[in-house]
Amino acid sequence: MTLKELWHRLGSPRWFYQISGRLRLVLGLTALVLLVTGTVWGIAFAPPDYQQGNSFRIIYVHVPSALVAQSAYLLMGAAGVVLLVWRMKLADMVLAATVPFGMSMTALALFTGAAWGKPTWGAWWVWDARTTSMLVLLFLYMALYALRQAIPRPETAGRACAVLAVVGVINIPIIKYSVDWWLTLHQPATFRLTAAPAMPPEMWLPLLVNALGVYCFFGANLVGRLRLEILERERGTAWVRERLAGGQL
Amino acid sequence: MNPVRRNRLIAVVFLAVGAAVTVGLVLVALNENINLFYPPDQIVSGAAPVDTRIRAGGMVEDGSVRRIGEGLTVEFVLTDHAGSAFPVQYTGILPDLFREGQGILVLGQLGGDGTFVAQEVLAKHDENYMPPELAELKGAGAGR
Amino acid sequence: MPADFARSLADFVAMGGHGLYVWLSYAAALGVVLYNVLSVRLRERRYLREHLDRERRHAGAGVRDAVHPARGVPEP
Repeated sequence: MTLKELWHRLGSPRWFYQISGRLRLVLGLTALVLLVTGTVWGIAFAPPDYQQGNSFRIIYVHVPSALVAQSAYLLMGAAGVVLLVWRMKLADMVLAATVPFGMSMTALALFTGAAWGKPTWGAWWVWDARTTSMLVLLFLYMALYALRQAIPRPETAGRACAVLAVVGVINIPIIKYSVDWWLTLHQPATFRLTAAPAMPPEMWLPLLVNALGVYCFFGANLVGRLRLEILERERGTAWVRERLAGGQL
Repeated sequence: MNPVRRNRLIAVVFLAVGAAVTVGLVLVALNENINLFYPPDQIVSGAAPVDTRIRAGGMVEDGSVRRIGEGLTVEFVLTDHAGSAFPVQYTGILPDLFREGQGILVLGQLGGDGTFVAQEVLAKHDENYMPPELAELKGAGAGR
Repeated sequence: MPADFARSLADFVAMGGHGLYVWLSYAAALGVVLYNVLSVRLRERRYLREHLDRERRHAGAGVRDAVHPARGVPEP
């Protein structure tokens, strides 16, 4: 299949539904294995930090959730562009299906950040550039959710969400570079593309496993929600009735 | 690409660039205000307001921590290791991570005499993590 | 288990005095994972139930038509 053919096929929800069942299963199982491994490794076997002790273990939840929350938003930005320019149905579904996942992961990153801040900084919350821009990300997700609920016509709702998603992408580099551009309580990045991590492997390996796991989980969850979006939007069509004739999704 | 889609793409690009420029200008205009705290050089040079509730930050200077009297009052010096430093007075419980050389954030008022009276002390952690055994080895290597 | 936790389960739970924060974080993570899994599962089940109900109604209508051919075109 050439790239152009794939692009056209992506315009067909029916085709996506047919190929995605197995993809979801594989991603889901991989996520389960990785997340269980990374979590057990991180909480019981990784060494504590020399200054923070065991509160450091919160990193194995905090960093993966913050990463995937931002990546999910970038995906929505891309889907927004595709929807606005090419009017592809699947793009609108991605836009709708990513919001609950991204919102819950942003909330988790903020919550674990607070639970980590209390023993380390001495405060649950500080209004520095990193924490505030992450809070803005949560509000963007909430706004996208509310916007879709507020506009009754699905096509208009989709386009409005696409515009907000595209505009909101500007917040992502702000989150990333906030710790370099301004004086913040949050420390700068431990992992950089251009340098070795400021952490030994027995500390970052479980983190890597959990990060990969959460991305697989995102994939599986997104595919699951997309399949539901497809079924709901194509309710009652001949292919859906035929597909569900066996009594299974 | 057909002309309709090209026009839509141009509109989307304008939307994104417009939003980025707007936000960028706002951030540049607010630049100083987004900083969470005043670094030592701004405290020393008088750029920080006196007798108002502000936040200041710096590293705790080695050997500068002194207990005053019997209570919980301590005095220490925050420095940027680049020639600027100011004394801080604080009464209360220090965070676990408070130690010499540590990055610290203090909340309180800068007095006219240049002493900062803190009501709250927060510890700033750096981006380096290591197991305790490794930290001991490194400490020994540095001749501590 | 690493050296710290080798002594007892109590040490593991206490997390060197930071147990509350660590376990709260991991519990919240579990909660978020369960929310994402279950919200999809529940929506799927509801969809399937509604779909099967609708199909049964269609099938029922078909049977009734077969029993009462004289009725002609079934009313919507």
